[in-house]
Amino acid sequence: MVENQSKADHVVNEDVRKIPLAIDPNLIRPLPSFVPPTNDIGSEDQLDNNTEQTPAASQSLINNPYETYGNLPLDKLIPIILQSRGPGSKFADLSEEALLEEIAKEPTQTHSIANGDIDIDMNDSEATGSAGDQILIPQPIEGTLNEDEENDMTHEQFQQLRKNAVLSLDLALNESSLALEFVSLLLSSVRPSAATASMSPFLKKTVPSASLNAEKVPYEKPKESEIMEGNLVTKGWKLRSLEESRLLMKETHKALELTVEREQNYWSKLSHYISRKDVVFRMKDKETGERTLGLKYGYEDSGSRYKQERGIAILRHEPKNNTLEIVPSETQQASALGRLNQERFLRVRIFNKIEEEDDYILSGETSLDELLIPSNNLAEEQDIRRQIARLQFFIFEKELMFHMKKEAANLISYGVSIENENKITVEFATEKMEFEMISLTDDIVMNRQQDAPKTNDKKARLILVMLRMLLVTMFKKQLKRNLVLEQKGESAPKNSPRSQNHEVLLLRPILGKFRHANYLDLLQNVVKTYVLDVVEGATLKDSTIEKTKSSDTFGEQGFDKHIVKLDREIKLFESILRKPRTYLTLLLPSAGEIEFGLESSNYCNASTTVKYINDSGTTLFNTKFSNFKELEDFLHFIVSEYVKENGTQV
Amino acid sequence: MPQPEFIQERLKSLDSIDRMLLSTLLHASQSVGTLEELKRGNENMKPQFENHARNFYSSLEKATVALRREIKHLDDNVGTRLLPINVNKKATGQDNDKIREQLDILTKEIEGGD
Repeated sequence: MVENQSKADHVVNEDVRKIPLAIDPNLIRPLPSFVPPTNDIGSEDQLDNNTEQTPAASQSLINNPYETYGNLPLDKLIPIILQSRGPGSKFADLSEEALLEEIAKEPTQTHSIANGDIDIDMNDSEATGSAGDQILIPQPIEGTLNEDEENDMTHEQFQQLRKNAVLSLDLALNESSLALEFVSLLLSSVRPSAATASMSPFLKKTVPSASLNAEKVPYEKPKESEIMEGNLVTKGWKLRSLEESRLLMKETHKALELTVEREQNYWSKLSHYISRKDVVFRMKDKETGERTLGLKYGYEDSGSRYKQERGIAILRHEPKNNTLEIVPSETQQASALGRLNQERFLRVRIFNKIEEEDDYILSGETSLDELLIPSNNLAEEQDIRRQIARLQFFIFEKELMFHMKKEAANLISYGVSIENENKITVEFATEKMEFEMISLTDDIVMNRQQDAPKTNDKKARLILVMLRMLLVTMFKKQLKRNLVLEQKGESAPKNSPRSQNHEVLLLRPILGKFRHANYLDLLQNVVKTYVLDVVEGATLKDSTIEKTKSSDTFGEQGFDKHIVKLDREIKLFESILRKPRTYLTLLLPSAGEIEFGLESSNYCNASTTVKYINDSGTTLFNTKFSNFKELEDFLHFIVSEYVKENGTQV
Repeated sequence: MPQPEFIQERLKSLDSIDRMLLSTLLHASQSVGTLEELKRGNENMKPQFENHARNFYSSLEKATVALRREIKHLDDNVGTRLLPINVNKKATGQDNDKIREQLDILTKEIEGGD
């Protein structure tokens, strides 16, 4: 049988390699790939054949011979079928019944059929020459087949089904081969001979035998005690976590209870002390990082243009004393800069010049504001309203000093000098005034009542009150300006520092009043020495009120009531804000009159107008002096030229 | 100058809500505590656990209802007590306060002096 087979192989191979006689080589070519596999596995020949073929079918580990059948086109498959059935058989003769009959016979004569198959195969290959004619005409046979098949299914459907079946077969075979290989390799370490027999040549070549090993792992059933222990641990963990969560909640509850207490305290205090008038808003406490409430205590919305401090404080709960306290937001920054004491107030001091020595003696000073004296009553001291009032007081004082310094800078020629950051001095002929910012320290508070009252204390206090009122008046002017601009639909222009300076009227009105009084004294002295003492019957009278009566007319029309109201309020201070002026009329008996006008263009200087009207009502002189010496000469001239002459005439 | 009564009332109510929520936490911790005892096998704790759990739910419910009521108050008052928009309140009138204060001092000075 083996001989037969190898002979057949030889013949076929020769057929292919050498001259094809009457057969189309295309028909025969597949033969070498599928003829050998029909033989039993195990024969040396076949294995060799297989290894030779591996390059062609290198993709699969195992060469599956049936694979090639599936890949064959029908026109090649049919001749093979015919070949297997022996010479002379026609495809058209094949019928389902005949095949069934054959299959039925098969189990009984499996062996003989197998033999016969090979025989037929052999014969076939030998008789290819004779059977060539039949094999060479597959076309008509196919046609008949198609006609038969058409009753059941289309050609494509059949192809598809067959393809699927072949694919599944391939897959199964491949898987089982792999399994076999695996088992063989595993076995090769224990029984090499048995293993190599079932190994594929490919595996033998690529993997050394006995290279795969495995150990047996015994399965141990857990003991009763172990199960018990596991359960116990689980339960313990559960209990522990329960306990922990209980404690966690309890502690949180405790902590929150304190917080709630504090919150309640905060809000009740807030609702008690903070009124609707206060401006309260949400803000962040920079120190603690908490969200809290801020309060605006500055004068920004009331006309102030002081930008050094924002005038905002944080309403904070003080946990130590369980009180509400108010902390200016700037304090935090200031303390960082080292300027700890922000609590400063303005003190006015008046010094009198000692004639013989070139020295001054303190004759009056302002006392400490009531607000700054700590109260004995603790509750009152903690009163948030008092605290707010203090903050407002301090910011106001600071702003006052700020503006005063600005104003003082331009008044150096009138005896005003800025000694240092916190001190302004104003010198007059016989006295000196000091405006100084004093830090509120314990010493100052303690020593407040040690000094005996002095003569000029009241004057100092009045000056301070007036300064504050003038600052408020400035606020009001600013408010009015804003309103007017708003009404006109314009936005507030950025005021240049210069114009701002010009609007500051704090020192000048007060200073001007003092200076004016001095000038007036001088003027009256001059008049006295040169006229009143010389001319008999001459009288001097103050005609200021008559002269300035009609000058106050404000255009109140066209503005809304707020502006009108502000206007009226500003006008209350008209008498001090107005540049000082005094008119005197000197009546000369039967020689007409001299009118004096003492005016100031910038509050501090003085110029005198002199108008001489003679008896008949004609103005002979109308002139102006800024120097009293010239005025003296002029008066002397008038008296000697007109009055004296007139008098002698009379 | 204290806040009006209505505001005080709201604050009080919010405070009580805070306290109710706080008690939920307490009840929760108590419930967990009794549950732990139960797990230890102490069957007597059953009614206690029930009690704590009930308290927990009832306080939670009360707090929720009260909170809803406050929110309703808030909604109801938009447009009357509250403005629906954010307004930057201005600290106006402080100039008048100051001048009044100074006028008082001035009056005192003039009347009290001499």
